[in-house]
Amino acid sequence: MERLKPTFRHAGYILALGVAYAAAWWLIDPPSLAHNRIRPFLLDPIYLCRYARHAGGWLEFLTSFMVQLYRYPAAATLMILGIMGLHALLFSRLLHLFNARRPGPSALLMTLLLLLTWRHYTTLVTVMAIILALSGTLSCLMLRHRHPLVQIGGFAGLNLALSYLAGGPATLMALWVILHTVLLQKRFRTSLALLIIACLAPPVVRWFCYEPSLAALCLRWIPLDNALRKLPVELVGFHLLYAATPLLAAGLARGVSRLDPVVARRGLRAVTAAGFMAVFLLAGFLDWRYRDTNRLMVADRLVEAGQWDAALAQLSSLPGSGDLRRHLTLRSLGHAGRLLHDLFRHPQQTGPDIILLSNPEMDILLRIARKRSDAYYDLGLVNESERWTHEAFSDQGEIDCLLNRLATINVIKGRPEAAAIFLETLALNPFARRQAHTRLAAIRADPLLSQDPVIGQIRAGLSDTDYAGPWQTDEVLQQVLERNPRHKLAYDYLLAGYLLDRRVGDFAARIGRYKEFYPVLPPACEEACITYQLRHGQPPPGMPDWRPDPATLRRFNTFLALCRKPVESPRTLWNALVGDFGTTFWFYDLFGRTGAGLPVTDEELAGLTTLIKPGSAR
Amino acid sequence: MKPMTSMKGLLPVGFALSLLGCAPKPVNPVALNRPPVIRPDYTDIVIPPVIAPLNFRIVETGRVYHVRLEPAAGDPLVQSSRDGRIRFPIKAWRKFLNANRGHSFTLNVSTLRPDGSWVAFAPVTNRIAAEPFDSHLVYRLIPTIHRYWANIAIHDRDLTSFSTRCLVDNLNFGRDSCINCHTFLNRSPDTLSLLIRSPRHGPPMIRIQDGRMDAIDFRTPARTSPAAYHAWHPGGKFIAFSRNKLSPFEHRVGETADVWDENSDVFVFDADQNTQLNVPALADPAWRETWPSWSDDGHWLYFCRAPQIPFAQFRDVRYDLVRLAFDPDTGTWGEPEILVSGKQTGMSAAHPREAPGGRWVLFTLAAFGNFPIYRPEADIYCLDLQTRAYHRLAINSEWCDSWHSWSDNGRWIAFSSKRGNGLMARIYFSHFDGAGGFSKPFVLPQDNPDYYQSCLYTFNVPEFVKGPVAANARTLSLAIMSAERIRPVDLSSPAQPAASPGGPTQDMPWQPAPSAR
Repeated sequence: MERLKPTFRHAGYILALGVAYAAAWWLIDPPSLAHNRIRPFLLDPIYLCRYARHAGGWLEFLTSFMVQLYRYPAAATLMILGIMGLHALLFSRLLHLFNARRPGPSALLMTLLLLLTWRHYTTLVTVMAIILALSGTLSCLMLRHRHPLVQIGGFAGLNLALSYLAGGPATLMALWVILHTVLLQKRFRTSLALLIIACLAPPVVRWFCYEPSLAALCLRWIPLDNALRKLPVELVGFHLLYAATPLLAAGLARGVSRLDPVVARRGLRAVTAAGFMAVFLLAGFLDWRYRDTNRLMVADRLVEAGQWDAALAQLSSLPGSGDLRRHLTLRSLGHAGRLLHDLFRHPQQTGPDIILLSNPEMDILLRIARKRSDAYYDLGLVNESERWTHEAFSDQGEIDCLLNRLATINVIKGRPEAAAIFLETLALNPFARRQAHTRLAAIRADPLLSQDPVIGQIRAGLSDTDYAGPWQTDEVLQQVLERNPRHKLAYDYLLAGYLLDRRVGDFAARIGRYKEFYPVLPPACEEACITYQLRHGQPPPGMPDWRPDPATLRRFNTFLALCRKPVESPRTLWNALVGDFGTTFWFYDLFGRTGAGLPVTDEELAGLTTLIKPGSAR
Repeated sequence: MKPMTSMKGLLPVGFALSLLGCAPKPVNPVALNRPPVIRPDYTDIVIPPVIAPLNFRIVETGRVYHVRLEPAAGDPLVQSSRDGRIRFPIKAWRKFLNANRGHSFTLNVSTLRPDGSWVAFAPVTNRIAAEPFDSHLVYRLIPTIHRYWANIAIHDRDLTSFSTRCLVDNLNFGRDSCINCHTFLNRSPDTLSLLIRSPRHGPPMIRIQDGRMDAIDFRTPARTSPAAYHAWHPGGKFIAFSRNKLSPFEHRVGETADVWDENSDVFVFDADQNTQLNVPALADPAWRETWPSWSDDGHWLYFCRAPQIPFAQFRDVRYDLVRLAFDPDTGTWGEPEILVSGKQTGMSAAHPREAPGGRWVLFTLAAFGNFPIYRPEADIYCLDLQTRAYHRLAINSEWCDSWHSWSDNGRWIAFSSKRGNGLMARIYFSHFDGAGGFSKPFVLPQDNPDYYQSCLYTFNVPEFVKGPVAANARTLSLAIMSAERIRPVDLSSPAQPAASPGGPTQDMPWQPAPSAR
């Protein structure tokens, strides 16, 4: 048994590591992290100089490099575990220096709390800034037994260096070191000197690396700056708690020292257990709170990867009908070839254009420029896609997908030298070098990539008419169809756009071409054609021989009969129709939204009271 | 066995050479009858006697690269490399240029091929001009933006070395801000103006003059458009500036970006009187006037103007190159004189810049519009004021060439060109022979010969300056962020309504990138 003990111990360690790994994976979801948090990084002195001109730039450069590991989910999880381990170690040491009674569990608790914030609140820059602040504090406190001048000198050097290299960590370090000097070392003169240095260091750094706000420099470890007003209150609470923990630990240690040792030990155990429980509850709460956001992000990632069916599966499980979700649904359905079949099976509602996301109010949506670029690229509108890729570049910087897209666009536009510059830049990222060199070699062998079927197809479909200036989405789609009459996605988008806008007349004018793309009229179109026939007394133009499918017609008549029944309120009518007709164009036409999605609210229905008079449908 | 032995003998020598950083010298090279391919292209050019080393990469196969700059008389400059990157030591380079000022030299390149044989390429002849250019160049470094801006900076480059100083970038005063054009008084580093557009700090013109720095806001209740393109009168008392109502728009074919100027007028700011006035000929409601630029002697104001037409006819917008006589002593103005007519050329003029001496005027002609940097066909033209004849410069490329500026002695020009890639502009220099001829342009040298291969930024608005600019990021940012604004009294006639509604105008045509807001 004695011989087996080390084996059990090793197995225990491995098991604990495995659990930690799985927990970290569950908490941070590395593939989504790679999708959401990717940052530009180039291993290039000129690129570094751009960072080095500003306080905190070096830390940003370092973390931009570390973020590249997000590309490899397993490595990213290990890296995050490593950082968390380092944090636990350093924080435990800090608490120990503040005389905390149980520094290990407390540090572990704080580490878990930090890990919880990783996915939705903090970034790697924040965590690394905290690590730097901890390291700086511990380094300064190592000098606590030395002559005060040595202590002050060491603090000044570290504080200045941290202010420049990382910005905010210097503030956090100064806070902890001064607290320790006052409370535990009781060197008031030294602490006053440290305070003066801590106040002077940021302005000195700002003198050389000028920036508008001193506060932004001092608080740089918190991701605030111009988002100060948007900072979630829970994040403010976390950082306040985090910064004050050593102080609390010191206070608690003093209080505990006055208690009976047995009572104190039990009390501390109980507090620690309660703390762990609270953290686990918080983890569950955060997972519940952000579950829809998480799913949407997964869907977004799948859409960018071109996994349309998987994206649709994710999107189906989402209750909301936000613009981003509807755009992703539309794009996925379009690529999966099911747009006119399943359009109304997903949450849809009347509103601004979600096909090309042309409404400027949508600028607040996540990476809207990239999404617009993708939407135009799908349609072969290279100039529009180029414009939005450049806009995304201004927003996000030199990230892989943008550099690759710009390289492709420049090849299509006959500027292989410009394409090569984008790829040479991509090659400066060591994690994308191979991919960049492969593409560069292809361009050097054939500057216009004339053998590439996708590029060839887009090039063949390039417009020869210069439509300059602003255009409505349906006009853009018609222009695409004028040049490429066989562009199914453009045709689907055009019809879907008309249906979503409830422009049955415009829809009817274009539906005559459906046979070029579909052997059978898709369900949403059939329903819209019936609506048209009811309103105009004749089939849509170009479809003189069209007769509605008898089963669909019977359903429509049932729908009409239900609509014409006297009802007390729009909600009664909604309830009567949503079960059987919630996924039809007729329902959407009547209520301005599909039955899918969140339950209809009284506010939504209140808007319909003028539209739907009890006992009569439109 | 014999080759093996010889290889064995070579190994320690090669190892020792590599430790010393030396490379073997060419031995019995086979002569090729073509020049080497080098990047950037520094062949058959004229260079100034004081300039940073023209480092380059030899784009030829080889294990060792050997370069010898051979003057007609005196010591050659020799440099070798194992990766094709040739970087000249700055001291030796300066000594070489100084010793051969006004003379030609040959660039001899030899490479050691993988099979162990040396080849020598045909020599290239370059010339060192006797006339220098100004010691500094101030330019704007900007990503290829459309409507969202981010990371815009003004740099001050010491042309005698690779030293570059970032004068100001928008992180210094607000990432949501844009930095526009900059101009200098007679290329003096002590007197300049710089335009800013910021959601927080407004659109001030930062002026540095007589050791003072201030911010001027030209907007008035009647004229809400801020100043745009501007130019200092050589006397330092006046600044001519245009107010433009610019709106970006996109093309479906060819170059994507373009700009529509819905309405513009030229005004003159009198610094002594703190007034802004418009001269009827510069703010004619029937015309759009823009791109003001003074003559070298200050007696003429050049500008470009086009008749008002609606946006639907944007392809028909042709700006004339016009000038107006001005007497700085009395403040009187003459009548507009058309130098190059848009109707006659069928092209649109922009960027007039008169050479020191007053005989030559460089300007840009593009197919249409007022924003040549977005027109691939835009080229630089030269007008001889003595003969009134103008010609397209032979140094133009198939891509956009624009934003030219003259050196103080009038023998050099710097300009922005998209040659080489068609998208991102770089700064090129060309020597002027004084009789209308320009030498083959060469790109602004960089320490790393491969710099431009992965540079996604556009260099524009190059301006020669006679020394380092008397400002830095801190002082400029403080002036930008200060609440103090000089508001010149508007003595001009009431504003005219825009004559051509219907364009893609927006209140804020260019915007900060979402992450910067």
